[in-house]
Amino acid sequence: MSAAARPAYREVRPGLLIGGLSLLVLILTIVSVITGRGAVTGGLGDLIALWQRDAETAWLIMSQVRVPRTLLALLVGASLGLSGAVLQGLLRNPLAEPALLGASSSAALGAVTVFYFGAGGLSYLLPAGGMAGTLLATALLILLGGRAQDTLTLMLAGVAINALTAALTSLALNFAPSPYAALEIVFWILGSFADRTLDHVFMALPAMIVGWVLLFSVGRPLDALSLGEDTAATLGFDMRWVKLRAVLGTAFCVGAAVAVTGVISFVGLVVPHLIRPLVGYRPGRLLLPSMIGGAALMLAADIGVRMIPTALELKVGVITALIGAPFFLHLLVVLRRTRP
Amino acid sequence: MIHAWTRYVVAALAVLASAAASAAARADQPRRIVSMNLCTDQMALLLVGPERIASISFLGADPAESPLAHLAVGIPINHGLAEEVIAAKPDLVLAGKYTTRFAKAMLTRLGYKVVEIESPETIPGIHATLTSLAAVLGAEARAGELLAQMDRRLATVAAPAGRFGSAIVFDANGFTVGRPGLADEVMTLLGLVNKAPELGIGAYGQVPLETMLAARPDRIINLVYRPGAPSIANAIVNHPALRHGSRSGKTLSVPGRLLTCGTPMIAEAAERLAASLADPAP
Repeated sequence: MSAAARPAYREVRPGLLIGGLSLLVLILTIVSVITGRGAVTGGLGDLIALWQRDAETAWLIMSQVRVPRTLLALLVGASLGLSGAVLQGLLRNPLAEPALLGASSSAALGAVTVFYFGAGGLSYLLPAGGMAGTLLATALLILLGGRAQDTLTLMLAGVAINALTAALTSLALNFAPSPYAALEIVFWILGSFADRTLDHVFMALPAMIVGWVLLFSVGRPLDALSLGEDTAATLGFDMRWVKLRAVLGTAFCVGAAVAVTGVISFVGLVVPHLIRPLVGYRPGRLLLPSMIGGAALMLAADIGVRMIPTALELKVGVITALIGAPFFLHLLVVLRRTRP
Repeated sequence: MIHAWTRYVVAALAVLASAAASAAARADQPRRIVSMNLCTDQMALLLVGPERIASISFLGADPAESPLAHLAVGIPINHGLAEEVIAAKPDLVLAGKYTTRFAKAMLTRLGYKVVEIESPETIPGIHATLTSLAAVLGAEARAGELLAQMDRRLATVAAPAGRFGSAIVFDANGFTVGRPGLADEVMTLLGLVNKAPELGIGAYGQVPLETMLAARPDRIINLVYRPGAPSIANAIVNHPALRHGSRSGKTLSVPGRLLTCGTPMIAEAAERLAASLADPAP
């Protein structure tokens, strides 16, 4: 990382950073549970009013609609933030991110195939379909990138994988037996937490936990890798094994996330970037804060789609792209200046 | 033995009578009817024999879409395209009011007789539409029979207003039926108060899950449509909150195809819904 070119943020004590981010997540969780479209639009006041009038319904809305949605946003945000941090460290590329690299859209293709043609909606095979898709795309990317991992090759490979998987997803949806399927491409490419259930949480959680464990296990190797692949090898890290764990971990995290909520881009790009200076540009120490930060950004975006008064609820990917795309362009400009 | 013999004679007489009736049918009756719309498909199949229908829409031949698809076996299908209609050499084209706009315009320009039918949304509307279509097809007697039978069946299941409390339709993507609407007519007839108009829904519209839950309907009605095909849209119908959403904790299911079009098939929807209202089992 070209630390010298960065604005000189002050490194923050890890405990303080993690504590602060956790507090932010806690506040956003509470806001998410009291924010809604429909019965209780006015936030806390409305909710208390409904509670006094009809406690049973208020509890039903909280427990069956708001809580699953909030939990999913937390888990998916955490998984995407963590995957983004690991991918950026692994590929030593600040533009790496599951969605931009095509890992997410490949997961969507896998999940769509299982959902509409296979297991019939709710099933533990759904995350498996997503994982298979991500695994294929990530493996392809690592192969294409070779040892150089230069930005251009990676991003172009990502563009191609994204275009191909989006086309195949659209094709699959148009062949699906359900008359609604063709229109549901919007869900798969922009993502949504609307009206998801606890079933979705339990479907995605086991795979995500496996993914988190795998991704955290590459923390120290990533620090070594920032000194170069050869140096990392001399420090005793088997880089093939490290890469395998990182790719598998990403597949578990992203595959499971996309399978239940669709593709949500840019979370994995923005969050590690904002946090990197605060951890002194150490890839290994970036992981946990990125995970918590990802959860915070995702919750904020999902609160946003419920607060913006559109006739139909926006897809959450609209918000993350509105934040993320300008951020990405800004990064491109910065990179061009620092890496001619 | 004598009994069976009498039955044959009666049957033979009936066949003769109907043959005489159709022979007496006016020469200007359309004999090659092409229908381009799911609802006109159903009305035509109810009113005239399949031998007079030259083609129906692909939806009308699909058992998931039309409750009368079994009557359409063997009738060629079309996809609402002008060239398909022309190839069928129709002497009458039936089309929906709002669909296949360009095909209709072209057929009219080419001199075909095109009759546009708007699917009715109320029971009096069903009477009016079927009667006027029957006049075009020369099937007035059949229409009278169908409507009288529908009225009898509806009268059997009718209940006083509000007898069973409130209800709301909650379908794929959270769509619900307001007023005027066939499901609303059925609900009112069965003594259910439709909650959708209270929630600001016009004839048809989407209602957020949370709003629907907060309205606390006594019954949730699902107009089942292609349940076997998984979709995100249909997932909301199986949302766990719905199991506790209505006070009776029970979602009533009716095949949606019975209420897609305003036809006497509404009586079957009403009977099925009445049966599940009376059924105490969860």
